[in-house]
Amino acid sequence: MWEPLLKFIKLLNSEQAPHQLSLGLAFALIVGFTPTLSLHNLLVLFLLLMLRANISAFLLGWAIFSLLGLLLDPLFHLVGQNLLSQSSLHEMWTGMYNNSFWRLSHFNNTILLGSLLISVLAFIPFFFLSNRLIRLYRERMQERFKTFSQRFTKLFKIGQFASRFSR
Amino acid sequence: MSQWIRWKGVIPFVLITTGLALFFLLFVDSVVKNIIDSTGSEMIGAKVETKNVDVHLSPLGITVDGLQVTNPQQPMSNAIEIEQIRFGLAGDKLLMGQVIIEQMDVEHVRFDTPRNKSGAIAKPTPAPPKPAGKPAKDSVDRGAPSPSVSTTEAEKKDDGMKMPSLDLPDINTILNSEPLQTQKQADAISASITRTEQDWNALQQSLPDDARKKSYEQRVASLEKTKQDDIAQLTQALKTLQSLKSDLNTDIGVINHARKQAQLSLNKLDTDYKALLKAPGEDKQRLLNKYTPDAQGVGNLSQLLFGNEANGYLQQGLHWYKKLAPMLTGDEEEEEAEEAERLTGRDIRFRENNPTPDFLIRRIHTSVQTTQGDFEGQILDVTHQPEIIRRPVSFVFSGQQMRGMDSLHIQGKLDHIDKKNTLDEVDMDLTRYKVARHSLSNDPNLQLVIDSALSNTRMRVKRRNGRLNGDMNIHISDIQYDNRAGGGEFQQVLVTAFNNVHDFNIDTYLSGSLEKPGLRIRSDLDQRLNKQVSAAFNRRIDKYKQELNSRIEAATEKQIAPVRASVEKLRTDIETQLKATEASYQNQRSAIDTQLGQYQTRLDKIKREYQAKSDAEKRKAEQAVKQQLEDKAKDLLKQFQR
Repeated sequence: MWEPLLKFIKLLNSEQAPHQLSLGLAFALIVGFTPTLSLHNLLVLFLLLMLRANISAFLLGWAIFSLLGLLLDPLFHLVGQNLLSQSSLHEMWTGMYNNSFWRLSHFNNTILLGSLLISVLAFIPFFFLSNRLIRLYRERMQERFKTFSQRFTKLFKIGQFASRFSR
Repeated sequence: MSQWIRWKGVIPFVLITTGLALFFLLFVDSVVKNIIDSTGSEMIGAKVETKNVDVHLSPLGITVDGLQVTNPQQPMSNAIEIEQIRFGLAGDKLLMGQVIIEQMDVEHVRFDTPRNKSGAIAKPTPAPPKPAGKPAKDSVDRGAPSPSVSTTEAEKKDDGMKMPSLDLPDINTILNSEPLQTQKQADAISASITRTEQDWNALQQSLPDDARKKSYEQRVASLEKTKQDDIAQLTQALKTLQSLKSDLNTDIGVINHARKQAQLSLNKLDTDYKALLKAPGEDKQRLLNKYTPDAQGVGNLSQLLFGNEANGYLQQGLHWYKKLAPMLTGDEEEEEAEEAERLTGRDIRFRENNPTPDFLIRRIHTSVQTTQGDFEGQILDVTHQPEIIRRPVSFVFSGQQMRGMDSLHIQGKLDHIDKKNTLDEVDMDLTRYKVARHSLSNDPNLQLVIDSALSNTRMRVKRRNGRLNGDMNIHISDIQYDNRAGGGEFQQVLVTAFNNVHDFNIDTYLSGSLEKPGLRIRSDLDQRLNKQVSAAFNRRIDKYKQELNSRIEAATEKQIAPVRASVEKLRTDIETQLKATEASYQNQRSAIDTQLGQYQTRLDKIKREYQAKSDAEKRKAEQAVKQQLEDKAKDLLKQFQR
């Protein structure tokens, strides 16, 4: 339970640029919210590796957003269903449905469309917000937290060693 | 720009995607094999195994070798074994999530093959055992002699047409196992008798007792001292008698009320008693109906001979129909759709330019191997979305020049295009099938064996909107028997009668639903054998009925006799006591009435005597006064004249 938290604090205290961490987390938002085995996630993977996004932040964020995504599934389903049943969009959906590429993307699934739309819309605001928060943390709180986190890490490691030894 | 782009990132991307592709190529065969084995086993309820699965990419397709589907009822044998299944997949459609198979070849299908290892799979909770001893009338048509068509495990294992045992059930067993209605009624009326006795005892408490009667007698006796010429005493006696009469009338009223109450209780007892008297008749009728064949049953020998076997085939056919039809038509998927929606969302379908179902096998070509030889068939348009292609699943199988028959032709369709108006049908024609050493009886004292014969079978079965409707006609001809009878008269008669029949028809009619199928069997064998066999059978049944009847009567009489005695005694006691009490009070009231009359007459007489005496004295006084007045007048007149 504490390990991800420690890793996250480590990441925040590392030399990584804030935008790299934010980008990693923002990509994680898309992959975590939407069904993993989807075509668009191949593009996300490509962008993640091509852009200088932090992979550790992505992996950590993926785990967190996947759990959050499970809770938000009913909302995604509702949004996707509403969009797919909009009569004004019906022609567009029908056109896409008859196209192999879009069919492969599985856009006609209510949860996939709803989660993709919400995560893409949230991508840029989330990127800037997390960027701002990381900068604020580093400016105002990093020094205070550094000592605390170092002590906490030591304690955690001693605890881990003791629990292994006791087994 | 360089702070945003990581050109080296292309290397892990290529590595990851290549790794995924390699994983697919290396392990896809095992993955598909596991999916077939596990999904198939779950659907069938017994092991489904494949020897090898090969997924090839160019052209895209799958080859499955050595598919074995265990028979869930007999885990040491396979219901179906298929040497090879080959099919190609439309790659572009697969990318769109659709499985479209233009042609599937299913080679060397064999049925009922032995297994090396048991194909049973552990079930979480075993099904509760079915109650034994249920009369067969529930499962086959009315009219079949129920004790005769009970299906045992041993009978199920037999392959031949086994005639069920004609032994009638033991009467002692019937009487021990069957609860008699008479017993229930006797218990009910015993409670009713007790209740009536209690009511009667309560009523007796309210009736005037001996002390009261004695007090009346004392009051009457006290009147004996009354002076017969004393008006005052007589008047007092009359008043006493009137009061006595009034008290008696009140008591007689109480007795009458008690009589009415007692009569109500006795009427209720009578009703229960009449029900008890009827119960033996009902018991007799019920047990005779249940355990002896009726006239129709005696006449319907074909049901007796072929009922079990036909029912076995029907159950087996329906079992596989229930398993396979939903797979071919996809009806089972709809039930799970709602549940899946919550986890994986819902796929919304839009109008397609060229509509194609998510799953479709346009043509399955199959070759089937049986002990009689090979036959071939094809199944067309297998899909769970027939409403898209607007064609039903159809199939046709045929075999020519097979061993032991001239030809076999099966065709049918599963039309689920309109889910509210479904029609599944199958037609079968089997010509000149050679029957060899086919046993009709499993009675040790009766060997009924068709040594050789020819049969022609024609079957038409439909299931429209869940209702079954079908018929099957089998004509058996050129029959040679190997019959022997070692038992009594019935067996001898049956063998002689059968030896004279060289051809007959069997007509089977199917109705009802999958859950409650009804099977009716008729045959001209009945008419041919009826005269001789049913006469012997009837004699046996009549004797059995008489014995069962007399035993039931004896058993029920045991219950009724003590009840009858109790009821009669209670009725006599109540009526006798009420009558005696009432008569006694009526007599007393009559005596008092007489006494009242006598006293009244006496009083009137005395009154009249007093009146007469008073009148005479009055007249005498008047006469004296008159004389005195006359004398005085005369004296006055004399004085005046002087």
